[in-house]
Amino acid sequence: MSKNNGRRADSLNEALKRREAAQEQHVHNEGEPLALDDSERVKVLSPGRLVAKRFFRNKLAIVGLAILIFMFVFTFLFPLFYPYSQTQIFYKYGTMNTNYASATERTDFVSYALGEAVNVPSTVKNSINSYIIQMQDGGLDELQVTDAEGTMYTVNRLADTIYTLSADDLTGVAVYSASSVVAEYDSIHESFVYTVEEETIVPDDLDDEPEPADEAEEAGEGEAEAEDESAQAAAEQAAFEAAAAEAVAAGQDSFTSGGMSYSVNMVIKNRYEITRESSALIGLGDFEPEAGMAAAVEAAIAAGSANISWEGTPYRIAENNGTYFLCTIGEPTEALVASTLVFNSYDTSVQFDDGFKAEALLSAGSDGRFEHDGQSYSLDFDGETGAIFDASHNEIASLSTFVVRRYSGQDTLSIDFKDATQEVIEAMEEAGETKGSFVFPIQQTDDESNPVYDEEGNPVLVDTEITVERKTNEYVLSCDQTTYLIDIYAGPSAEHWFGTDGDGMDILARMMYGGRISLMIGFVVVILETIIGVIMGGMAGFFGRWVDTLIMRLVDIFYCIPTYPILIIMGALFDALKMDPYVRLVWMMVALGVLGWAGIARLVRGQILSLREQEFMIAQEATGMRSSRRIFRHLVPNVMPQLIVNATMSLGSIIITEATLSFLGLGVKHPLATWGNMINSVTGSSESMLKYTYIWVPVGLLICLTVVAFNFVGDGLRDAFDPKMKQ
Amino acid sequence: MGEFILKRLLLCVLILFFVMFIVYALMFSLPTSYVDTMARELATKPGSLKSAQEWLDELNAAYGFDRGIVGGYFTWLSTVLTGDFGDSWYYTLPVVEKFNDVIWFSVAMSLAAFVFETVIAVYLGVTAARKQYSMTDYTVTVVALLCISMPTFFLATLLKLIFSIKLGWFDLVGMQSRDYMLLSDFGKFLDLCHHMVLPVITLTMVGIGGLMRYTRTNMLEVLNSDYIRTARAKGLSEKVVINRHAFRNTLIPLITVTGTTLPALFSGALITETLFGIRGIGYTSYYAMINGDIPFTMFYLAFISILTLLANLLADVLYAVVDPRVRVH
Repeated sequence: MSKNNGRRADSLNEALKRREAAQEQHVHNEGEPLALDDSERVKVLSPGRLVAKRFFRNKLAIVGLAILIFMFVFTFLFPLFYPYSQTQIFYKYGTMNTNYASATERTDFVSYALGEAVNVPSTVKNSINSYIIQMQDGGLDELQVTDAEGTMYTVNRLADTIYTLSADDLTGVAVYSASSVVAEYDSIHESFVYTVEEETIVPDDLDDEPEPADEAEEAGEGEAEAEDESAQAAAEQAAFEAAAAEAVAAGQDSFTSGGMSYSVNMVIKNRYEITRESSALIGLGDFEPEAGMAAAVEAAIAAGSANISWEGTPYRIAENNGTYFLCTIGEPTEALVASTLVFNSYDTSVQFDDGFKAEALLSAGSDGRFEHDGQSYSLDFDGETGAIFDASHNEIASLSTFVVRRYSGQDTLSIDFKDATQEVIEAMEEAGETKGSFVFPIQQTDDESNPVYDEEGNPVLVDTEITVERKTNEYVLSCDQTTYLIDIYAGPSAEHWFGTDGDGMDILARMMYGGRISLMIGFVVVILETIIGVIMGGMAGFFGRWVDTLIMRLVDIFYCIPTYPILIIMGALFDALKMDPYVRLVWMMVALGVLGWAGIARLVRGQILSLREQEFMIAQEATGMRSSRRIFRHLVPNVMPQLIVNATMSLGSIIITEATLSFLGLGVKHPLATWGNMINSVTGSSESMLKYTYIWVPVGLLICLTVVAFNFVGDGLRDAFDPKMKQ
Repeated sequence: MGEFILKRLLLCVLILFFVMFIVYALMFSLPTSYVDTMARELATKPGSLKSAQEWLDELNAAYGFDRGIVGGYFTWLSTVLTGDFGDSWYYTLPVVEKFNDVIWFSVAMSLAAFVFETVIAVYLGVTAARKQYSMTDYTVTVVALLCISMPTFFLATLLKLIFSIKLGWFDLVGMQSRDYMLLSDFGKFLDLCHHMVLPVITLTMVGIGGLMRYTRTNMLEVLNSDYIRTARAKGLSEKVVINRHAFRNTLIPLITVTGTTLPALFSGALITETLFGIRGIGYTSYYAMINGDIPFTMFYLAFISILTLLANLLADVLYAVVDPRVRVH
């Protein structure tokens, strides 16, 4: 039995082996046609692989997929190896035309105080320029000015460029009085009523003199003077009264008394006003005005001149509140020296103090020798420019009205530089040009804008071309200097393949990070709107009745809301709230998701409505499956193909929406990079649009490519899922 | 049919009510509005007896802003129902007047773009479908997808670079030349047209892709149907088959689709108008929106929403007219 069995088994094995061998041979023999029942004729593919196969047959879809893979690698992997970040700012050392120095012809006078002897009020100090202009206009050598308290000063011209202000030492000696009503005479009672003139105010420096007494009061109230003087005054008054009474009685219009002429006017009957016609000069204290002096004073006042000279002695007429005083002039005290001259020191480290400058300028009016801090100097001044020598006759400074300073205001420029500048500017003025240039050795700066010194510590000088340009009343001297700069709008280079943008950030890095944000927004929004859409659409389709009605009305509402206007309004809202860019990003994604779910809900509902009628759903209902399980395990997977196609297509449109919003400045904000705001930053004007084509065209192409790729892939997926569409 | 349309219209009114409420809520929450500015301006005017705060309170009361979002919305609604859309804050003109000033530029531009778009898209779509899988087909498909994928702003900027800056054929922005005032009436019209060229090209290119693909798909469907095969079998020339039999049948879905886009001609092209400085409704409303001009924005958004609802309604009606089977449901 067993032997038999063994033989049969052997023969069966052999038969099988033969058949296998035959089959193997058959396979290798390709020329032979397959039999109808050959198993190789039927290749069974899973539905997924079938879709994949159909998808990969589509050339456009492959191109799209390749682009997308590149984009993901570019935006998510490249930044890991790329040395720069999206907000890194790059700097460079570049030669920039910087303002080196400025030059001006000084026309306003600067005053220097001469010691502490006289305290000149600031009102006088500040208006020294206007005094000098007044003098220049009138061609005056001397001008009397008065401060608010009545103190008098004299401004003297030493040279065209030097003026001094000195406090006058005036002593009031007489009061000048013009014609005035002195008394009223009552002819019935024969009494005199003297007009009490307003008490004259005497300037402070005249105070030590006695109060000017009215001629009429002099007798009655006369000061405690010598007896004969008061008697004389009384006599004078009596003579005046007698003369007046006589004139009134005679009906005369005028009379004279004591050398003065008076006029009589009738006010009302029996009442007369007596006016002194001739002006009078009333001496103060011991001063006795000589005859004719009053007329001279009157003439001087009428002529508006303040100085008169009487028998060789100079007098000054000082006016105070309408009253004129005649003063003798003492020795004036020089208080200020005002000058347009600038001290240019040969040794740039030495700065002269105001005292030195004042002394030096003052000496221009004398022999030119002056002392300061125990040292003696001498000044050689020719009216316009000058030089100062120290005791050993070394020139230590020069004077001119020309100010040349570093642009920062420091006076550290060498005198040679100043001279060269002045020469060029004078040449420019002669030629009537506003631009000029000269070459001058100035200290070299290295690549990092530090000054360069040689081994001995002396600055290394390099001949530099300095351009002089006139700007209104100032000359600006500029030259190329090495400066540390933000490297903005750099062209493509080895370090920055696409250059840098207006903030000095690397374009390529920003392209990567910008793409990352764009893709991230796309995915987050699509996922969000798909979730909302599937839940809402699924519920509407599955439950029907009032749930369906309610949800579909909601869908109608969201379908109707205009997306762009809403997003623009929200952008303006976020702008007004000055929201953080990251928070804003989140809100934008939420808004896009909430505005976009309606279409998906419609799609899902439609699919479920048609699926619900099919047999497998009835079978599920019969088995008593939970409705949530029926929706999400059995219905949604059947809607999946449409969802995937829809999601892929809407990824593209979301990226466009985001880019458009960012382009309008209402989406993702600086410093976060997105493709939209990168384009926006360089297309503001036609000039930059043309100049920075290498920035915005590649970025725009990146957007286009990504969106095209999503559309290609979405198209391919649709064709692959639903071959009926593609014949 | 009449009952169906009436029902849909009532539904539209309901939808509009809620849409406008959402929009109002958003506008209401804008923190800096023109009301503040107006109050400050009024307070500094000579003869003003009230402080800025008093003016603000008064204005808020006038616009219903003191009554919360719901109260404010009903205040707005009640004035609108009397036909009064108020004065624009940003343009200081009655809203409707401003709208009348600008809408026709938008319509003219959109209409021109619509005509070009339809003609070119239908022609290219039919050509592509006739030569399926040929080089022409692929080219048309790729171009269509490129046009769909191109962001409007990028396309507009590219066109500006090429035609305005490099070639200098058109002005960069604006809708009038410098010597506009010196031109005759016909010259003014030509000048306006000249400035509309680039915007119209932009709009055409952006809109062309979708219609082209739609035409192609529908044409393919028709070309693969039995009656075309019959027509060919009976020996009709290819020209007759395509023009008489296939194209006419393709026209039915095309007319429904283009019909539904007609209301959108009035909605303006926000991005294109803003970029080219065409003072149409899109441009006007963009600046109203970003400046918090509530009356104008509310009016514009209500207008847009009505247009959208109208388009949907039109689509339903047209489908029902074209395909009697739809009417049953």
